[in-house]
Amino acid sequence: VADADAFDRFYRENLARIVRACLLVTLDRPAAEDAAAEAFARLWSKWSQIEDDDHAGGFVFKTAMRLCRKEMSRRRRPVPVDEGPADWTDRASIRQDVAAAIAGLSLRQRQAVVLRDWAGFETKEVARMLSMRESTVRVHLARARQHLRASLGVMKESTT
Amino acid sequence: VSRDLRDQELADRLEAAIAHVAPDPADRARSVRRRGSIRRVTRWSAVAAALAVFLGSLGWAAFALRGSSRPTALPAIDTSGWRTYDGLKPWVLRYPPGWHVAPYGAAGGHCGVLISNVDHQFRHPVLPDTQTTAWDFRGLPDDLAVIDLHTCDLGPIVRPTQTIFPLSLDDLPLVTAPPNLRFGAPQPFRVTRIWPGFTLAAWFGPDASAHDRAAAAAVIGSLQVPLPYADAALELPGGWYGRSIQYSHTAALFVATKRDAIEGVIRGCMSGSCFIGSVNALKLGPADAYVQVKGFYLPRSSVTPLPPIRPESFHRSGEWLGAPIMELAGDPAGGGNGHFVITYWMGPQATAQVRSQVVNILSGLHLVGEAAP
Repeated sequence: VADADAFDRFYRENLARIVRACLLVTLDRPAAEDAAAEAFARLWSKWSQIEDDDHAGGFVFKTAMRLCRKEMSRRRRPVPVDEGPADWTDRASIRQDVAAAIAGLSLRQRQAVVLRDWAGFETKEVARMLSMRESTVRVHLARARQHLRASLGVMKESTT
Repeated sequence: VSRDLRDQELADRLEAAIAHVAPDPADRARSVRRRGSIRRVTRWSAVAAALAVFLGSLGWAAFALRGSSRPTALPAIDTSGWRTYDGLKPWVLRYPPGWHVAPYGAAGGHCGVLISNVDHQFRHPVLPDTQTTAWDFRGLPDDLAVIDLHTCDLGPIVRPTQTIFPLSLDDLPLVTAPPNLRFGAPQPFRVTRIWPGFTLAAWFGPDASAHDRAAAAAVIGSLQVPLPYADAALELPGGWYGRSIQYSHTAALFVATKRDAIEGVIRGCMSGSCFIGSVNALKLGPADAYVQVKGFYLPRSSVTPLPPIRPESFHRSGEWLGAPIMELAGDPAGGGNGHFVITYWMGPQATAQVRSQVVNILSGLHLVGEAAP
């Protein structure tokens, strides 16, 4: 019971975060919620091996990213903004300008920027979650940031 | 503006785009946990299944490999009440009541014998253009067990294996006859060459009982030639240890000395590198003594008693620790069909008691020898 309570607390506190991360990667809310639910289910299946919340967070993020990648691979390519259904933004539950900007990234670039800049993991943690070398993560990250800044009009570099 | 600030702004933009996404965790935790539990059970089931498959495969492979060389464990057999057959010289074997012994071969002397659990007159198949020494098993029941011991012909071409007595069914190699030479015989069957010229084969039908397989194994294990002495008839003095073995179908060995001077487990041995038990002279001290008897016999000879052995008949054949090794060799029956070598040694510090014990052992050997047929 104690384990279930601890898991339920962790689940309540982190569900939205995992769904949002998956949403930023897949741009598909149902797929994001499915991936998040499955990631938490897998977390519970190994709950006895989880040491603390950090460990649980790393596990569930890594699992969710793997599930997102699997889902994206299944679809082969993300739904383009301009080819999507009319209610695409509603379905994605994400602001259209951001969705359009993310849609221009590769899967790996999305995952790198979401985990590093949005979720706040260290580069080496991102590398471990994505099973990449750190240098590879940095490359993906640099290209993702460059594209997103350009697309979203984030302030220009070196103005100070 | 530093890179960190620009990254932070980017993060803020991403966060702002999805901040309103707030899935309701209510009532979902339980279903997620149920899903996780199912997954855990499934995972462990898969692991258990994979392990079971792996162990099963391992077991099957082991069984298959074992089956190619060794039968499954056989039940213990009570051989009391078994009959003795000595019609195929020099062999003596024992077989259970209810089994049938069928000697075969040219008139004037059998050259083989079939021992089986079926009352059947075995014949060779009649072929239009040639002859075969194979037996015709067609029409025989599926629970048959048949042993064939013969020296009539070469029989199946099999590589002779090390022949160790007592013979073991397990040690007989499994072979499969060519389709045109099976004539209904169960395949594969076990066969080996017992040097120098005897072939031993065993067939078991697909429904042969474990009891009959065990009985056949015991029949094969009973095969021996008469020993030149009988353990039961030989009383050794206190402190002496004796072993009597048949180490080929034409030779036997008896050793008596102190226990640790007889090496390891003495097993009969026909050829190859297996150990033939003998006295380990290195473990003999100057106060020790030993008596050793080797008997060599030729096939198809009868056995007759030897005259008593007297120490004065021996001659010096060697020396150990400064004391002579005495030997008596000969053909006791004078027919040229048997030969024995008796050796004894008494250490230079052997007491009078030990010396008298040696003399008593020699006189009590009750040797039997070979005579012309």
